[in-house]
Amino acid sequence: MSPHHLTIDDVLAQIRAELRLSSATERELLEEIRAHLEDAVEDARAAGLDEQSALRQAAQAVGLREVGRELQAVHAPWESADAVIACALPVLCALVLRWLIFAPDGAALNWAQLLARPAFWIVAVAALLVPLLRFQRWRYALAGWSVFWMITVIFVIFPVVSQW
Amino acid sequence: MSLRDQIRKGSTETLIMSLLSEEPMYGYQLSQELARRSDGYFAMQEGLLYPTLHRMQQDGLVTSEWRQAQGARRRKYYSLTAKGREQLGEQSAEWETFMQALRALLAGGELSAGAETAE
Repeated sequence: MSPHHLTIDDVLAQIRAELRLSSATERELLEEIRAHLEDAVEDARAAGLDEQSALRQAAQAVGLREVGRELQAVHAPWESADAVIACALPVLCALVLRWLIFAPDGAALNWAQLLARPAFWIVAVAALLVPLLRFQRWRYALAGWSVFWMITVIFVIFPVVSQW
Repeated sequence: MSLRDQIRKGSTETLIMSLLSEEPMYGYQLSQELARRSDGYFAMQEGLLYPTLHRMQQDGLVTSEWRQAQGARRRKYYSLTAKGREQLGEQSAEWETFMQALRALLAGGELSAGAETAE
């Protein structure tokens, strides 16, 4: 460990260097480790150590890069699965609406017909809210919802199956 | 890996669930309690507690929530779920059987009928 004045932010930066997760996940992980370090420093200082020694001891006990690598390993597959599910769900909604509910025979469907149906809006809102509430990552939810609308627009512009 | 490390690695989840079955705790509190109650035997690298806790949360064994008591810092508390309690019961029974069998073997005796049927 370098002899310069160490801060909790320096310690957290070493852990962050091992993380390649969403900013929200990284923020939460580091906030949890920060609280841990603050508690450990407080206890070490109460036991008589000066602030720098207390922080170095706390950092060593936490493990820095090793904990960063372990956290990355735990969260990375989970995040990837979230992203795939969150993006696939709206696409699936659009396909089910178009081909199974509104016009299973492949007949044309215009905007007026589409937007007048409550079922469309229920699915459209669900396609936004389900990923947002389930995964709590608004970027995934908005990206997925954009795909939902893109597919819906394509269906309206090219409404007849024979055009596909 | 030493025998102690192997035992520790295999029992970490059970120990965490055992502590959380008493009350919700935050990470630092868990690490201190683990070390204190086992007189240092189960003291682990503190940072590695978090990947374990997060894995357990993904498996539905624990849940977490941020809490801030008045005048205290914000901390993430972990609680045992119903699934976690069920798993703790199964794992505790398994450890009990293991320890009985080990004691019997080390003492040169035989495994009691009760321990055999516990599985």
